[in-house]
Amino acid sequence: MDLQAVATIYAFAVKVLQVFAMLFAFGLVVLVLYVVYLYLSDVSQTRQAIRRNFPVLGRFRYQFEHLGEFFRQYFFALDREEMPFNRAQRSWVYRAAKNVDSTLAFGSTRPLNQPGDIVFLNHPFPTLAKDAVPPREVTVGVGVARRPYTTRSIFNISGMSFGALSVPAVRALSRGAAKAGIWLNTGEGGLSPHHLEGGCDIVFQIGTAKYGVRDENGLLSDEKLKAVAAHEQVKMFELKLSQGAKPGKGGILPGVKVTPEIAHVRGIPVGMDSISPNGHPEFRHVDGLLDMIQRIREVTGKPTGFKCVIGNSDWLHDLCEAIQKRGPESAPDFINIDSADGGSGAAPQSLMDYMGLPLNRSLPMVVDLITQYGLRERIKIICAGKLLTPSMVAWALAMGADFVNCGRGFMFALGCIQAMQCNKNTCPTGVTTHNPDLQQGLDPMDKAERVYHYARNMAYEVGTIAHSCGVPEPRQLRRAHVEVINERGVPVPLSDLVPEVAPKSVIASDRGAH
Amino acid sequence: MDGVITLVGQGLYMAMAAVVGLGIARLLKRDNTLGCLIAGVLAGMLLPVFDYDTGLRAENLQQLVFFVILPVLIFEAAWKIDPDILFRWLGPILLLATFGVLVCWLLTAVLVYYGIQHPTGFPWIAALLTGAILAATDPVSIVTRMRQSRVNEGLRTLVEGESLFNDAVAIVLFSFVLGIASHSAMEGAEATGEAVAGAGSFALYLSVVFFGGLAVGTLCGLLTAIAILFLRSAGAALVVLVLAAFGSFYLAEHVVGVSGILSVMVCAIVSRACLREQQDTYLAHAAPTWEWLGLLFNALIFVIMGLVITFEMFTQQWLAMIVAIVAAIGARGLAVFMVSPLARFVGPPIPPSWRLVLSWGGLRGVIAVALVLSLPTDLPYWWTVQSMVFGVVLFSLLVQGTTSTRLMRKLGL
Repeated sequence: MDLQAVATIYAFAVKVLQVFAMLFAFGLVVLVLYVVYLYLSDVSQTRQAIRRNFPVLGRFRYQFEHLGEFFRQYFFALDREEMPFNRAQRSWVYRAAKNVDSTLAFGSTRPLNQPGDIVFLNHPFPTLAKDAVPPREVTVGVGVARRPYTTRSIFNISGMSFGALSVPAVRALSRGAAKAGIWLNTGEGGLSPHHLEGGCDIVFQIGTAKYGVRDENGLLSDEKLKAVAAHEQVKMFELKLSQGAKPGKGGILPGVKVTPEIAHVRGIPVGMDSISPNGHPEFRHVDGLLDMIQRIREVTGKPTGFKCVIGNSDWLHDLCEAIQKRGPESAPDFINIDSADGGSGAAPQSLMDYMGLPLNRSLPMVVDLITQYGLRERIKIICAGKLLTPSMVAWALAMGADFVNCGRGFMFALGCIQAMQCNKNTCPTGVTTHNPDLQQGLDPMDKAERVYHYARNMAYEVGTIAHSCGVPEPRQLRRAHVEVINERGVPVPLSDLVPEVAPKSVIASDRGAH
Repeated sequence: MDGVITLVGQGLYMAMAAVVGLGIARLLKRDNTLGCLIAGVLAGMLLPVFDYDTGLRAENLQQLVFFVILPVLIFEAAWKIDPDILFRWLGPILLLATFGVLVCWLLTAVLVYYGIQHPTGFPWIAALLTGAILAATDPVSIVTRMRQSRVNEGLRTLVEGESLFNDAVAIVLFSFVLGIASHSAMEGAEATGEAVAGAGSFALYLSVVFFGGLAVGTLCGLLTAIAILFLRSAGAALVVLVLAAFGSFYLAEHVVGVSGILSVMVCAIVSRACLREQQDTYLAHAAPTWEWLGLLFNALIFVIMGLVITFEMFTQQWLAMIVAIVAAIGARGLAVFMVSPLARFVGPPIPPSWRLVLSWGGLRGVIAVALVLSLPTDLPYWWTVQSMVFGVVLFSLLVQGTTSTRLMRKLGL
């Protein structure tokens, strides 16, 4: 009986072994044939020299090059060495968004002798908690627009179009922004129901292709503009002249990301590359720009400004002079200065890397310029460009900005891991992909909380910096509160480099007399 | 010597009919298949006038269909599909081609059996055989239209890939059921040496046939790629490809004793995927070659159908035909709509409008005719099955083929 059972088991085991032996033999034969095929295929192709000269082995190079990206990011990159955002910056955003403890120990890992870095000047008698006040309210378009916009918020969501961002990402931003009381800039991709669903304040961006407000010729349509302005949530309109990723080139949305819904919102065909012209065809000089702003403000009744990357500054003088001739009510209600280092968008590397001024040059330049022309109170300054940590936001405020916009910081809050595939529809975290399988990782409700926490913790910590400097609220930070490290590694006052300027009222009235 | 000359004459007669058929199709502005069918009927009518014998017999037809015609048709269909898109849609395609075909097969069999209600003249095994034959779809007319109108690449790949894979599965099922029906276990005789009995050995036999076919196909595909890369000539590559089509089938079916159809299919897919970089060099002439080969054999099958079809079929078997038509369309529709919702678990989801195209556009064409022509005449119900399948194919060509393009336009695809 027992022997029989043993014999059966034995027979079974032998059978299993035979099957596996056959599988192994088959696998081996296939492997050998595959290697032979790889060899012949490498030798006979003409496109890649490495594969032709070192058949089969040469393929490893491409594999390793691909894998190296991940190895470097996870194993070898130091905390402060990655670009565009290093791990120290990203970690702060992640911790702020998750609302967990953000304190560090055992000293700063930031080298405090790098030229160009900034330090804040603490006050011997910092603001006490009972003296701290919330940021002062700022009203944009006061006395000019029929419905001016008043807000306390300092740190807002920069323009990222629906199309570049996925549906769940926009929904999470909309809900999070509403809860935090900040505004959401739509980017140039038009206004979708997802922007509106959270109930947040919205700044509608008009791109060069006028997506969402275009007529059949691709020009600005007053009726559609009116329809957008009819939404109570839409608070301001922003005319986009250029964007940080690619000054001198229009927005690019690759065809794989133009789904039927996005095509509908933008008013363009499905599946085709959506490429904006590099400038507005309606105007070619500052007078045209002012006319356009006037027209939008008239049609919508809401504050209207423009967004651009600063390069050549002559035209800004022309602009300010034109404003002085026409009167201050003709001025844009705000100027949104974009730094030159690019955002989530797809852009040619040469424009991303080399075109336009970075914010630490362009922001003081524009602030000083409009101050000289006496327009500082009339025109509000918004700025954007890698300002995703409290120190950078506080720096921008000290420089003279009224508001700070941030795009990629909020993408990190949504779960972005800086895989840098925004233009490929393969975003692994679902932020910038329209692939439903990848989107399912991004839960709008959960991430809306993170967006809210990020904005709130940012405001809190910017406030902390302000209090350390001895002022009761962040909007009172001035250039005198900041020093910048010079080329010898020694901090020098920022006000030495970019001194505060006073209005040149004499010059202004002189010009007016002409 | 005389035999060869006779054979050449017979082949030419049918090829001539095929060319006439293509001409008829051009004049009538209908599918080529319909034209060839008419040409076949004409050729059949002319036979007594010339007192000529085509040499077609049920016995040799089976081998002709399986060893000559099917390899070309399957290889051509598999070669046409872009491997990259195929892999993206592989999940839904396999789902439809395995689960969907099984559901369709059983449903057709049940509907046909109870529709005919004649257990002695038309037993279960006949119903299952009919079901297997009618499970193979051939959406040639909508694929042609899709190629012209540049519709969604995904939909086209889904339709083409699904038809290719379900042809293969249906042929495996058909061979299996036929093996049981004729008690010889036709293929089983080579695989195991004995007739199959019992559920366990059924499953074993099927899996050996199935996976053996895949394995042989993989090896053949790799060898094909290696040979083409080694020969480094566009002309030699065509020779190797044609050899691969016939050879992989012969090797699997006749030498190893596993599924030849799966072998041919996998061979074509593997070699096409391996030779992606040689598309413009060694394979520059492959596409037109497969186009004319596929066209010729498609035409031949329908000429043969025209030769075999008789007027009595319609007078005596019209009821069975109607039953089969209803069963075929109903089963296909049910199967597609039952299985499609599951697609999102294994790959991209299939939108509802595509489901409609898949079910109504799933014509029964060349594979069904080829299979039914290969039925041995010693089965008592072969004539009934043949009439039914011919009926369904005719209905497909005349009604579904002409309306499915309109359906696509209406759905905005």
